[in-house]
Amino acid sequence: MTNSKVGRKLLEEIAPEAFSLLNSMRDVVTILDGRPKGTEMKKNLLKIAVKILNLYNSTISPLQIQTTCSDNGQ
Amino acid sequence: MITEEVYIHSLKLPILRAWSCYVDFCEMPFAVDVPILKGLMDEIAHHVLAEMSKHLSQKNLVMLTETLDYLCSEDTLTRVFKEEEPLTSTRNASAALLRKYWDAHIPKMERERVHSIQAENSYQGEKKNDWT
Repeated sequence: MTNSKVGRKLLEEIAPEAFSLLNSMRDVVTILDGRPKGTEMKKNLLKIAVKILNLYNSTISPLQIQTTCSDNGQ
Repeated sequence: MITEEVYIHSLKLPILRAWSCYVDFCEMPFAVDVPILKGLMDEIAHHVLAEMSKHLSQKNLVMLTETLDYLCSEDTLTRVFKEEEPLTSTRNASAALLRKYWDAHIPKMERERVHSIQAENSYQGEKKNDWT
């Protein structure tokens, strides 16, 4: 599973509001500069989100992230 | 690891101010001031990059730098606030989400602090243009 997919899963589960906002940002960028740019921006921010969550989130440990991903067979 | 002081003064406050500015600019198009928002976003990007450079690979650091450069550029921010559909509706939808989270999750004291800074800056701006 790639970092951006892990990031998406985490955001959907622990911060659905942030995920909605990210989708909204993607939509704005898509209107401005096309779908590939919007998708790329969202993917890049998701990759960084998972790094930041791993670094700073005290409630979800990397072990839990792995468990979450394994539980879903990914 | 980032210190609490850096977090609060260099990251959290600029994030809250940029958040508040974005919502205000969407709700009041006449108040749009791209340089103010760009300044706040540049400050956030600077501190995020400084911190993340300790943890990211060179490849991911380049990717993050390019993404932040794009989002913080004057050109992107200017185009974000253009008044044309479907951009206006999409932008306002994002502002509505941010407004909802702001009201629900940001402590009153922090909201008031940010509003007080924005009001003071706005007053200073008005004073500069007041030639009467």
